[in-house]
Amino acid sequence: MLLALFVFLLVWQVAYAAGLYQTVIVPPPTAILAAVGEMYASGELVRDILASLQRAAVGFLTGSCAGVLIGVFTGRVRLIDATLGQLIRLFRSIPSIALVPVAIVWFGLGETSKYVLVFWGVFFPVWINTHLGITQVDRTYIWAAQSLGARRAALIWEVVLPCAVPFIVAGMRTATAIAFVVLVAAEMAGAFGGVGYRIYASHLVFRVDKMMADIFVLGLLGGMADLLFAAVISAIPWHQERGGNGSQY
Amino acid sequence: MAHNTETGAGQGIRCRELTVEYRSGKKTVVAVQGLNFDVQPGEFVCFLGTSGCGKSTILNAIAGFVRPSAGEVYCGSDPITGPSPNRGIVFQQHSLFPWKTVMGNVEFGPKMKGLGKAARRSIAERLVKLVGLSGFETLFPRELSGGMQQRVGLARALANEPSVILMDEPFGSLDAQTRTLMQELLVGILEKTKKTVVFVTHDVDEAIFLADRILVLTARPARVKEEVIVRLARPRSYDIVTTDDYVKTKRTVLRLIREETSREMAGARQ
Repeated sequence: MLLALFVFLLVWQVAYAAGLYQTVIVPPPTAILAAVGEMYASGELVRDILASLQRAAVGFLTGSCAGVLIGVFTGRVRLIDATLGQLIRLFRSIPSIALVPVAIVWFGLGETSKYVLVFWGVFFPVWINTHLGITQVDRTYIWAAQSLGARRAALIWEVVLPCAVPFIVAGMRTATAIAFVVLVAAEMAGAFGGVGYRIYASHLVFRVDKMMADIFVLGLLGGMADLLFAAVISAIPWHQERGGNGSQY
Repeated sequence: MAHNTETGAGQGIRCRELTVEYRSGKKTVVAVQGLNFDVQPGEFVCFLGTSGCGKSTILNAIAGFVRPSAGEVYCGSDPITGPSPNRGIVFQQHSLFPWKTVMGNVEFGPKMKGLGKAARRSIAERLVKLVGLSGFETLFPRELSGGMQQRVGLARALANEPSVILMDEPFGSLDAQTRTLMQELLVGILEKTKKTVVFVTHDVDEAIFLADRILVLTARPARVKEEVIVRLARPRSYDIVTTDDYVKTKRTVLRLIREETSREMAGARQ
């Protein structure tokens, strides 16, 4: 992977040096690196990253918790699924980014609107995966647990949830990507800092090098979040149990 | 609920006019119809039937997993209305909790009973030793062979000291050698505990080797076709398979099973 990236950057740099394209609108890797250095030196880069990560983290954690909690209920209780579950399915078809302007009207340009938007984007994939994981728990596990004396709460806590964990983590992995998409859209629409905000601000003053530097930063953050979840998934000791019974995703 | 000690006799099972139907798509399938049988306390009874005859359904009804469409099943004098830790079950395969270690699986029943950590551990350690898995306590199920997994399944079912053990073709997916070893292990453990055992299988040798009494089932819907009493002395070892009594019993059972199989095949042709 790193080799591919290196070759890509090298070809790009050579193309620039050879004068093969309009250099103002696509600065070469060295110029982007210089922009990163400039933003780092001014402290802007770290501030923006921290601001964005904090928003992503708050929205992601609350959205994931809500998704798991409600997924357990819609997955286990038919009445809740028929009411609340149906409502969630309706809302799920709204693209999260469409809510950015209205969220700013309702919650302002501050942190709250960012938290709410990321929460909204994260909630749905985590909910649907939890719901699926819970409804697809092999009934042999349930029966085994019941015949060993497990009732209601213990059954959910000791059997149903652990069974659904691979699904839940897969949902959270999808949700990290969505969290960044929604966050950047929200920050571009209006904020007082953050990587998305900075891309838009750089655009207004035609600093293409800075825009591209922040774009790479976003790619890096998203890639690291994804790698983290891939590592978590492969560390679950039961994640590839029993091919064909639906405990994989 | 009475928890029998290992020396005490188990509770019997009584089944009266049991009918179990389930829906499969738009059709209603009658898995069991008008079934009657009794299992005495401490007795080892095998249900022997062809594949798909409804024998697992009988076991699931005794376990309390499926509700009868008609009729009643009793454990001792109590009608069965749902699963109970007094009736332990060993499944065919893949029923160990994959997120728990060997110890975690065996400790599960005592944990649900509310026993403390130390008490659970000592019960689980004793049972893991009993099934010959000392040294494997911290492994996860997927790290064990099929035979080892079934031994853990047996230990887990025994951990609650149930008076009845239900076994649904527990060795069906094992290779022949492992299966024989597992049968001997089971006989060794259960002859000491005097538990009531209901064992479902389609393996004639397995049924004769293990059971006090074999109930041969008809093709679906399952009914008791005939009862075969196995008069082989206990404790049993695999040497008995060459004795005259064994061969005579096997001939009888094979004839009964053959009748059912050919009846079923004739039915399928129509």
